[in-house]
Amino acid sequence: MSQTDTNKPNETKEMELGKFGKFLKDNGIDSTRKDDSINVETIVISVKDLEPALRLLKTSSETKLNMLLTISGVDYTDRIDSIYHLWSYDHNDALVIKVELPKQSQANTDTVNLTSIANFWSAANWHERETYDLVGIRYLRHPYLRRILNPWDWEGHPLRRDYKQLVDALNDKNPHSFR
Amino acid sequence: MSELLNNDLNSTDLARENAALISPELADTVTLTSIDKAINMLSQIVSPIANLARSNSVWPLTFGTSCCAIEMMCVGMSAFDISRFGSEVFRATPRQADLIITAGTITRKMASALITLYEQLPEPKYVIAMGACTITGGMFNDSYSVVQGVDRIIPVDVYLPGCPPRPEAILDALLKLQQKIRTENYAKRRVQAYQQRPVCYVDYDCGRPLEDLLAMAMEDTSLALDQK
Amino acid sequence: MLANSAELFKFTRLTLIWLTLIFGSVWGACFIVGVLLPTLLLRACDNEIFALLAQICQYLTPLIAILVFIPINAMFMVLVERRGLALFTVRMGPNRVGPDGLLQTAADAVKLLFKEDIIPTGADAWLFTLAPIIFFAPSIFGSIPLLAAITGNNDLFAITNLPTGIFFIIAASSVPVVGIVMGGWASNNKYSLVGGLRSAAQAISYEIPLVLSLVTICYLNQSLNVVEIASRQTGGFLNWNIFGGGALNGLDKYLNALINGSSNANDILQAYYPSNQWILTVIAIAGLVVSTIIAFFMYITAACAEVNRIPFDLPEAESELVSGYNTEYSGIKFAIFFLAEFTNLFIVSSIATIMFLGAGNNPIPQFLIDYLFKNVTFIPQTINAITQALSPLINQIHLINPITFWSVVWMIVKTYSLVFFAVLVRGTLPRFKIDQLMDFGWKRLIPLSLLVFFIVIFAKGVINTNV
Repeated sequence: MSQTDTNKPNETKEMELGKFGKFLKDNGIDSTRKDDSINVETIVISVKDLEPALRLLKTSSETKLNMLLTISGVDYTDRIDSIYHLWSYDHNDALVIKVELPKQSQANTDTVNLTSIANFWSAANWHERETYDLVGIRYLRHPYLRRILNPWDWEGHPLRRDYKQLVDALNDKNPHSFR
Repeated sequence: MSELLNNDLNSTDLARENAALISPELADTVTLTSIDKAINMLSQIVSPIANLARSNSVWPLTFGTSCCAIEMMCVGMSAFDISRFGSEVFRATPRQADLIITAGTITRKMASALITLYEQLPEPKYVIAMGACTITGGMFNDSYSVVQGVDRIIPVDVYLPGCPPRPEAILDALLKLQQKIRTENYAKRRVQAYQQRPVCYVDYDCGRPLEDLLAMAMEDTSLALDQK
Repeated sequence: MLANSAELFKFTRLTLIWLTLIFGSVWGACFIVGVLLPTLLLRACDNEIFALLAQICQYLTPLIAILVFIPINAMFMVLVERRGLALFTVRMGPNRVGPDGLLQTAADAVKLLFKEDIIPTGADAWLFTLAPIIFFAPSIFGSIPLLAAITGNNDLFAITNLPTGIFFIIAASSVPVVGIVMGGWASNNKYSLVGGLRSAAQAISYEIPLVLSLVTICYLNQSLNVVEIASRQTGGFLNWNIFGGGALNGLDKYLNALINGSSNANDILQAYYPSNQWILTVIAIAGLVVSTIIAFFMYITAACAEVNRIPFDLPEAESELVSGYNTEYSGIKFAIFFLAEFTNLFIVSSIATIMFLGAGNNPIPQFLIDYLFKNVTFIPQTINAITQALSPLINQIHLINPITFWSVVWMIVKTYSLVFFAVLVRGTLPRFKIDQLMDFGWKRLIPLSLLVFFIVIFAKGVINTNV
């Protein structure tokens, strides 16, 4: 559920850097390693390092992680993670990058801010819109950030933990309120 | 003037006629005219012919939102062949269709489009709610984005359960619908017509009605002209 | 086809029943208006006014024939299309209404009559209503000159024999586009508008090869009159315009002489194809035959585009424009669009039949019939007996005219074969893209049709100077 025991050891015990972590460290970007997600190296980097790190991993001939599989978001009650899955066809390699964004307040309409990568990685455009729509991460400098799956007049972000579902004529199960 | 007119007519007779024809929900919105009376008389002759024709040429709308649509396509192919019942004419535009088979999950975003499509169908129009999703929400029970039953937004004639239903079941639903059409009365169908609202065009990005936006734009231009 | 042979049999039966129905009713209407009514009027009272009325009745016969024919024929053709498509995809097709689904399209027509007739808000109500009428009207007045050729210049239909018939038909057949553009514009709908404009572009591009291929035939026959063009193709398929429009006349005569054992066979060949310049003559004849065959297929292609049939149904492409120009049309107005579309297909097919496939003439050469039935005497005897028995009907009541009868029968066979071919094409080919359509029209068909026209002019010149 929320920040559970699985996350705590990461803070106390630093895991050894993986291949991509070392590569980033060589280029002056700090990262911490987390448990692998299905045999794929998973690293956490800070907000300000996100854009240079992604640019580097995309273009560098050593990594060539030039395919952005998806961008997703996870709500951990006190913070929201924006997660980038990268893939390299040339080296048959994958990497998961997480960015942890602490929430400013506990209000359920609150959004957190992050820099958009859609300007240099066009695949990110719709993924960022989707993450914004469902989790509520506001990607700054996105060309046209608006809801992609839900209607324009939707209130709140449905995959937030504190999302209260709207009850109206379309989903009310109370037999007395049936039309 | 209107009171005078009302007095002229035999109001008790009219009320009785109305009560016989109009369903109680629509009693306050529908008033019968003499043309409707004539149609009611004629309907004894017209209804059987019209019903026979209607029931044998139910043209569905090309409308598929999910996996049920695959079964709906399948029913047009050679193994099941909906064309035997004269319904293989899938029209692309609602103006020429008689029937919506709501094949697939209807999300909240699709709901408004479905309502518009339903309202664009000319009378008489029918709906088959196909599959669990459109009957009760199905496996998307309590989902935040799925309409829990398509009968919450448009009137449904035949419910067709299954997830998705077999093509034979679609044929069965079509035959049930044909039976229903054959029992109809032409005049009553006219009177009981679903009360339609005019279609309102909404700008997708800002969510405001297009009419308001046009009015605003007109205002802006007139202001600019005044300043000049 | 073998897997579906039962369906094929049913389809054939259905077609025969429908054809009997159509032409029985048309013949009945013609007989009542053209023969029965005038006779009764003249018998009732013998003065000038009644004679005039009788004459007017006779003059109205072609119009009545067309007005009776078009709606029933369109219903039949829709049914043929649906059953035909079912045949090609190994399905059954509509078979529940009436025996064998005979009345399926009648049910459709009645249903469309009882549907709500919507005029959308913002639509131009006048033009919106006028568009289907303008689309439909040319198919009535455009097909009138064809009647004389179809009926073998029957007395009742001789009035429709225009000296410039094919010119009139071509002029009339380009009017429906106005209706489509009008409907597309008046619908207040983007898809309709795009559909209408596409239709206009398509009609302009494909009218040129269509007209050029017809002009080729008119040049070959030195006539614009459909009756004359039809009468020039008598005597077997070798005289048809599709095979050079008279280029094979000599071959026909030669074969005739050869089969009948006549001694002057070689003289005939010499007269038609002189041996002193035989290489040039053979090349000219071959060029003529090949180019008229190409002209025929070019006409079929351009005609398909002209009446918006698949693979050229860009104006109503469902995958791009919802339903094209008729997106907003419902009920009876849509029915009129539907009706006119199929009537246009029929008219286009019958023009192809008259211009290329020998109109109402027997495709089997007369000498071949004579040769085959030389020893079988009972067939001509029975024919004579039947003619004798029917002679009061033919001569006194004018119930049947044998020339007209056989002419119409061969027209039906040839025209509906072309219609069936169109259905087959619809079941086979996918739709063009709009740029492919334009490319095909302007870069392929128009140069080809011009080339064919010039080849025909030169080949005809060579043959004329040599003979």
